Amino acid sequence: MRDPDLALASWYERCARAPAPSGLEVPCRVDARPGLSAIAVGLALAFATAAWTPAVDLVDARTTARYLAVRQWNEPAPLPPWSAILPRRPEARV
Amino acid sequence: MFRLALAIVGAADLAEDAAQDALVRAARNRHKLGGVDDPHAWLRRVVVRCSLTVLGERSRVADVSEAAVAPCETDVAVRDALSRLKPRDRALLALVHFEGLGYAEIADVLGIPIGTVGSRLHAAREAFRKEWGDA
Repeated sequence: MRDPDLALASWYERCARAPAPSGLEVPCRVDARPGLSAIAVGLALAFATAAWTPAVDLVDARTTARYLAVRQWNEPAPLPPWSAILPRRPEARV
Repeated sequence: MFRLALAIVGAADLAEDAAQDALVRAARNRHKLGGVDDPHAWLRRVVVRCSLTVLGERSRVADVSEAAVAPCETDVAVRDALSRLKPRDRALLALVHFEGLGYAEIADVLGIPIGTVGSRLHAAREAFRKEWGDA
């Protein structure tokens, strides 16, 4: 195929049919409002099931997992409430 | 998101990076979404910018073996020709031929005056034809 326009069109057509990167494909849409937590937005991006108009965008679940991992890395979870009742170390009782 | 990024960057691993970056940026800028009329267009703009960033970090597309689509001879030649274009030209061609956007939308996505879209598109097509002819 030597026609550059046809070749380009063929390439983009194949891009449009490209499979999602890997793993589970989930429908995704952005439905964020101010005040939602970043985690909630991430979950909404990954798991919202309402169809995007006019097309449903697909993202890789692995991408979302990596995003959530980054969030957890940057914002370590607070100590669980039961940590307050853990026995103290011996030196702490002196 | 992934497919638009793939149409711009030309390689699956780079497209994954761009899509991931776009998700992170979208989450970080979620407060802006409340005032956005068209969230889809907003997200598209984020994907394009992330794709351009990824291209800036790696000037050439990855090996053909990393392609998300089964490569054929024509695809290899197209990817090779696209890889020699400026990132902005690649984004412009993808927005026109892949996304099917109009001039106004392209100007909005790329942040350029609408009056220059036509000339830039012409230049991008000519650049691709030249690279295609040289291949």
